[in-house]
Amino acid sequence: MKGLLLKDWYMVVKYCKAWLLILAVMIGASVFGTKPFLFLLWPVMLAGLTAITLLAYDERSGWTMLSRAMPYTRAQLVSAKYLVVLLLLVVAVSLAAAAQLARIFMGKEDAGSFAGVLFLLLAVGLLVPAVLLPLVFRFGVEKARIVYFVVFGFATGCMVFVSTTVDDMPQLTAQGAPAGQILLAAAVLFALSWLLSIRAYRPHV
Amino acid sequence: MTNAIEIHGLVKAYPGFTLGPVDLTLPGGCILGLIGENGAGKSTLIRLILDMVQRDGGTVSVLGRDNRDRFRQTKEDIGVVFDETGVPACLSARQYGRVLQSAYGRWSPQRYAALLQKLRVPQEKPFSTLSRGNQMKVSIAAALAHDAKLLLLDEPTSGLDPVVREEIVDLFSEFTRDEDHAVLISSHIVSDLEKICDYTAFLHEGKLLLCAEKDRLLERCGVVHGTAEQLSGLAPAALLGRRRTAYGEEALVERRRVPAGLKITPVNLEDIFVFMVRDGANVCPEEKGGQS
Repeated sequence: MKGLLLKDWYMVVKYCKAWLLILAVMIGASVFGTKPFLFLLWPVMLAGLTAITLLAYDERSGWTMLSRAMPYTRAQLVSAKYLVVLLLLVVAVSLAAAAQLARIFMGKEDAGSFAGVLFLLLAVGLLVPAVLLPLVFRFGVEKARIVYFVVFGFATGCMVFVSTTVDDMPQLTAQGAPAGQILLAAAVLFALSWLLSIRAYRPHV
Repeated sequence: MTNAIEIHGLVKAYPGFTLGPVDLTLPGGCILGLIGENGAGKSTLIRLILDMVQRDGGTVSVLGRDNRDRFRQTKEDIGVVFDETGVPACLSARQYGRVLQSAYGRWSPQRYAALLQKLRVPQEKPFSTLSRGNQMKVSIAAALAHDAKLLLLDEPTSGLDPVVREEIVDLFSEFTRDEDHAVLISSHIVSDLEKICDYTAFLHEGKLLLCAEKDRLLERCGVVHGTAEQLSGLAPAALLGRRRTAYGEEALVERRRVPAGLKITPVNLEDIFVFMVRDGANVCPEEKGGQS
C-alpha cells in the first residue's frame, strides 16, 4: 500500500495546492477574525473531500482500472484513500490547533475550549468523507456526483450553523465535552464507512 | 509446460451484447494475437481473464490457476498494458516506477530504468506531456520490469507510428524467447500481429470465429481471382468464402483442395478476417473454439 500512498502524495502535491492556500488564508483569518470556527471548518472539510478529488483523477486517467490488474487487494485500494483523508486532517487540525493557541495567547479565546474546538473540527472532517466515500467507491465519481453536491450543500449549511452555535455557545466546547462525544461518534462512523467502502468497492472500467 | 491461459466456455452478457462462449488456449512460450474490429469484445475478454469483470459462465485458468483462486499472487506474474494506459497524468516515468516498486515483489528498478533508456523515454517529464508513443513505452516498460511470465496487451500499438510499433513488437518477440513466457496481444492492426504471433484468434461481435496456428492457417489458405463461372467450377470443399470485387470475383480457398494449375495468391490474416466477417467465409470449423 506504500505505493498507493506515494501515488496519492504525488497527486496531492500537484493538484491540491489550492487547498494549502485556502488552509493558510483561513488559518490566518481564524486568528484575527470574530468567527474563527467558520474559518477553521473550511480547510478541514476540504481535507476530507480531497480523497474524492483523487478518486476523480484516478477514474479520468484510467488508474482505477489499471490498479485492479495489479496485485492489490480491494482493502488496500480503499484504505489508501481513507489514510490520505486522515493524514490531511492531521495537517489541517494541527494548523488549526496552532491558530487556536495563538488566539488563546492573544486573549481572544478561552483556553478551556481548546480541546472542544479541535474535537469538533475533526468530527466534521471525518463525517463528510464517511458519508461520501462509500457512494463514490460503489458508483464512481460521476454517478455519486449528485449526492456529493447534496452532501456538500448540507455540510456547508451545517458548518454555518455549527460555527455560529460554537461561537455563541461556548459551553459546547467547554472542557472538551460534548464535543468529545461528537468526535467519538464521527470516528465510529468513519470506521464503519471504511469497512463499507471495502465491501462496496467496484472498479468502474 | 503449463498453458499460460486456458479458457473454456467463457460467457459474459451485457444488454445488447454477449461475449462467448469462448474456448481458447495460449501455450507457454507463444504469442497469441486476438484480432477483432472495434467493439468485438477483445478488451472485455482481457478483463475477464484478469477477473476485473465478473464472468457469467465458463472457466478461466491463468498460469495454471483458476483466476478466482488466490489471483492476487498470480497478478505478480502478469504484466498488463491497456489502451488507456492508466498512468496518472502528473507522474513522471521515474515516479511511476517508484509507485510500482511496492506493488510488485519482483520489481527491478534497474530493469525499468534500462528499458526506459533503451526506448528513449524522458524519465522526468509528467506523463501527460509525453507523446502517445512514449506513454505506451512507459506502460510497456512497467509491464516488463517485474519479471512477468504473461503479458496481456490490449491494443498496445494503436495510434503509434510505424517506427515505434516496430520497436514495441520487437520487445514482445524478445520476451517470448523464454519458453516460460507468453503474450496475449489484442489489436485491430492485423499487420502488427501477423509479424509476431504464433497463434491467432478472430473475435467478431462477441463470437470467437477462429483460433488457429498462424503459419498453418496462412499455408492452408489462399485467394483465387477469376470470373463467377471460373470460381463456380471449384469444388465446394475447397471454397471457404467468396466475394465480388470491382474486377471480378475472389474466393478464399483451401489450397490442397484446389486443382493444380490454378493460380493461388498468398493470403494474409487481414484477408482471412475480412472474408470471414464480411463475406461469411467458414474457415477450418474443426479448429474453431481453441487450439493448443
